[in-house]
Amino acid sequence: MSSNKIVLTSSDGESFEVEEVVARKLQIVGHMLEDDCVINEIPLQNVTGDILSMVIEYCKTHVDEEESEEAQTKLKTWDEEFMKKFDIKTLLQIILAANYLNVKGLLDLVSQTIADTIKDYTPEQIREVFGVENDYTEEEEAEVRKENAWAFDEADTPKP
Amino acid sequence: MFRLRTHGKKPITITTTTTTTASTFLYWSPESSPTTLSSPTNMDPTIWSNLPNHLLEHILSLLPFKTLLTLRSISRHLRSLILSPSFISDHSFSLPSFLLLSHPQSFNSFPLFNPNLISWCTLPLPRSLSLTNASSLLSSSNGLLCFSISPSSVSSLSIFNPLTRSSRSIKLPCYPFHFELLSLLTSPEGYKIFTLCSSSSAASSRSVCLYDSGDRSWRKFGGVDQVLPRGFNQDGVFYNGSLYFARSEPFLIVSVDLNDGKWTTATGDGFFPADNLITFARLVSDPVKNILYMVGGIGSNGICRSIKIWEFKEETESWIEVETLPDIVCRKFTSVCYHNYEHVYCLWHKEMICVCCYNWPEILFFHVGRRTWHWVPKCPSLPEKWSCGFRWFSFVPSLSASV
Repeated sequence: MSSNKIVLTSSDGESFEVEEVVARKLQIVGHMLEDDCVINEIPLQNVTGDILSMVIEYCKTHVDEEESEEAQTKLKTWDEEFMKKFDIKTLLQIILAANYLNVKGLLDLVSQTIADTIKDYTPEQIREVFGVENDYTEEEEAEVRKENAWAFDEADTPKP
Repeated sequence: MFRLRTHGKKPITITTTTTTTASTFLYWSPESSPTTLSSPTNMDPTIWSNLPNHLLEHILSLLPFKTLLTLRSISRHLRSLILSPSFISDHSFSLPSFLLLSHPQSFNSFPLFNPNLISWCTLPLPRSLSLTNASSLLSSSNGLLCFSISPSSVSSLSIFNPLTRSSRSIKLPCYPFHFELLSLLTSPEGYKIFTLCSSSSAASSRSVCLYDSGDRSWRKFGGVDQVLPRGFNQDGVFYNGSLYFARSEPFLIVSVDLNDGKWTTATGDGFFPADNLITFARLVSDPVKNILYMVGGIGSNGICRSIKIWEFKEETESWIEVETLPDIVCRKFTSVCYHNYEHVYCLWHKEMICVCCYNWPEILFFHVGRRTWHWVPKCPSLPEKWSCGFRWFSFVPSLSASV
């Protein structure tokens, strides 16, 4: 494997020197390297340093994706622990970064984590977190909420 | 080891990627200081609007269906996104499915039984569909329900999807419209409504009127009188593009092709199982595995002593016995229907062959996968005095079934 070092620079001017194999986990970087192999410093306009550092953290851990079940389990545990560190706000920033930098594994991981996090939120909490404006009238909202109560309200708790 | 170079900050050295050092690494930047995970914090609204739709859809697709339904009440945008046909068709959700009970004395709501959870709930009807004494639920297929909606004499039908709360009124081809049978049949392309209708004068013959949601029109086919006796009251069963009926006196399997309206009577040895001993016969089909089953009573002098299930083998055009109802259960079943097999009807619901009786509130069912027999208990909310008119339907809610 190449031991070339690549410097990644974030939108706020923070630079990270990483192994080329790690940088290639960012597909956006991979494509740039293929286009011109002499690049060793890459500016990344749409991601801040603190978020980029987390993406790099993920890529470093996932740089050798071994097939063995043991390694997979270990990575999965690491993923879970890694995701536990972030609040929903950070998660949303990471997903935007993972989308921009094109890191497929991280994108899937963060999507799932966000889904797991918001699945128990009330509509009010979700509106608050995501800054969504409620464009229903009170009556309309009550009507929408009532719509499918039959399918889930009672059936949700399995009888012993 | 690698070094971080930052502007206006001291260089930080990261040694390994183990979890403990990773966390020091993560918490180094003041902007990303850890916050408590449980309470949602206020967020810049632009983040949500920056989230590209494909990312949002991907996250939504990972949510349990129940949460999605909750999310619909957040905003019109989300509701339209979640209920959009493209979103629905791209993602499959695990929805509960139910046995639905329709009874002439209950107009505005239907008891629903969830066989997986062994629990009951109620399906309310929207005000627009509130039923009067004279109208009723006629058929159910893949998340769609078909009602007659005119209070005095049937002039139109209503197709209703309770999950999306959408409905469509379908004008019947003539007025008055008398029908002996009506079945709603769904496919991925849409649905058909099969009716066996008769004119009011007894002399004229009966015909098939078939509605197709594709071109929203009715077609009429003849040839019914030669194959199905008058008063035949068992719904047809959809199998291989045709609707199958098991008639009696004599016992025969007849089918009508839903494309050209052509009737076929199956002939030949073995085309009706145990035809000397049969006392009643009902068909059900498994639409997923495309298997046709027959539930039949075996006995002598028209008295059923045993109930069996056969499976139709297309290759050999013959019926293979797959199951016999245990004697003790059979005795209970024949006693609750008073040996009047006219009351007995069968339906398929998610791997279950249900054997129902109009005058008994419980359902007997055979679980095909587990090969076990069970009773669905009486619905606890039913009044004691309701003694007949129990009509069950298989109801499998579907977001994608459009009216």
